[in-house]
Amino acid sequence: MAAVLVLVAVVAVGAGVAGVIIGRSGRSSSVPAVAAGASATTRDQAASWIAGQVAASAIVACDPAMCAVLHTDGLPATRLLVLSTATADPLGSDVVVATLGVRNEFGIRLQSVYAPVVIASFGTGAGRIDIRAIAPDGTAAYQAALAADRRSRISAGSQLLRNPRIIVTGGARNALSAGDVDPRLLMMLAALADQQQVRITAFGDPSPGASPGVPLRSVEIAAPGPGAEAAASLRSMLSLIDAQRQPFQPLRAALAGSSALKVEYAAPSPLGLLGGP
Amino acid sequence: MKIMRYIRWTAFLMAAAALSLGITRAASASTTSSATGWVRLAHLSPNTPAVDVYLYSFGNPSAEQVLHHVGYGVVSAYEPLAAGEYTVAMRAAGAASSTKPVLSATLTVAPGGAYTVAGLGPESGLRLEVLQDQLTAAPGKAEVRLIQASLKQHEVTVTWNGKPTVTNLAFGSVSSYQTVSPATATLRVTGESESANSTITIAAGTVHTIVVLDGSKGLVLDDLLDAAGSDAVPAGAAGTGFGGTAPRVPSPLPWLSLIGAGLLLTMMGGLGVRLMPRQRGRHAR
Repeated sequence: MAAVLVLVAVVAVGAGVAGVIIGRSGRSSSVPAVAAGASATTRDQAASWIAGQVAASAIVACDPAMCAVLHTDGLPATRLLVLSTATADPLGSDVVVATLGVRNEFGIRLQSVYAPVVIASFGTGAGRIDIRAIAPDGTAAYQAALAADRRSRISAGSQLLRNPRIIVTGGARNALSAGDVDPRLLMMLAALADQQQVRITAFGDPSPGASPGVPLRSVEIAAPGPGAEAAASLRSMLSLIDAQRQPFQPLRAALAGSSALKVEYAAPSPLGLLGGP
Repeated sequence: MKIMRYIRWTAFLMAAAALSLGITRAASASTTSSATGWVRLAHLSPNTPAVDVYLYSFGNPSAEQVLHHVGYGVVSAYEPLAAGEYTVAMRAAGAASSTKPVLSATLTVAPGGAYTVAGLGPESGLRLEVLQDQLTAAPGKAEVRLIQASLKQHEVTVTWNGKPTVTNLAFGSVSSYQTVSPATATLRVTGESESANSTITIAAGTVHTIVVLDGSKGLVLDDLLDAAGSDAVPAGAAGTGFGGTAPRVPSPLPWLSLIGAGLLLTMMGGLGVRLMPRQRGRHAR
């Protein structure tokens, strides 16, 4: 029975997306009224960000026009929850793309009930598109989990700063002590530092317009020195990172030449991975 | 006479060495006790091969712990661990050295806290779950918790002394602690097609975890003593499952055995006893 329901849902989503795609002649063509207000550029920016930054397992809720753009950008229909006037809520998804149409549809409930936190934002004014993380158990529970997670990140970051094998420069030091770093990165750094010295040069923020407190999901690690030994050290770190499974498998991890390693995790950052103080 | 002198000298030297080592260990434990917690590892995934488990400290790389070759049904003894945050990772036991550990969970060790890091579920969905262990019971009562680690029986129901204690506990799940009256009574576990009984003594003030395991001839019950009535230190050497590999973790038991052996030798040497019984440490079953 459940399998039938899932099949029906997938077919419905696919049909909706396909219908919208059929009605379009290109990425920047005219879009249904529900997405009115957002420029094609803004839509494309938002879609590119979702395709490149959101976890591959995440379900994305969007209006028909936005879903069509996302489908064009490579998101399969099975990952799209098409919102329409008949949709009661965006629950069941992991992130919701808040175009003007979606904001009008759900009103203040979008922020106060379903998705309190913006993880990225593009454009301005009425044409703005926010990508919001869904709070499956309600806003209050989500905010409480967010606050607890931040406390845990502060505690974990402070412990990493005391680790003699972790060398951190100014900005990165502040990010660790302020609890601004994604918990998956914190856990990974502890494991890496168990093997060798880790020189953190920066934590990155690939989430433009995110709400305050949304964790930084990328890190740059410098080679511990010049030469082949340092490069081997980075390759050793990369092999440990590449061996991981979800949720610790990063979105991207690559060497930048022989002098640096960049690791980036997908959005949204999971809550509750750290035990907390 | 020479033989007796030799025995006395040997006994004296062994006792001195044992006491010295024991005192060092005890002192070390007492000075760190305020900033340490207790951790044990349980492999409770029936179809998962043995694993090595790594605990990576966030703040102190020298605090890393490695538990080697832990097989199904094995529960290690509690080990002291500095308070703080740890990344828990594991890799297949005996895997090539190039194989990297896979991160699985985090463990936050609070001073005085006791935890079981349990590998639960089937191999395809193996997860490491951190269970907070209770160290105290209500006055005159005992606490019992159940871990359902039988893959053959998807759900089990437990009665203690004839009274239902836990019902329909699914494979891979852990019950909360239940307050029970102390007794020596029958613990009965009933699954869909198998059941098992075990007469267990649960004393007042103690805290137990009962693990339901798949054995070669049916369900097997393993009674782990989490705490023996002290609120300071968990009940050191936990029992382990049947037929598994004994934990290779460092334990104070060998020291205690050595101390005991040394003292006994001293006493016996002094009394002129020629044959000395060998003391055996308490090891995992």
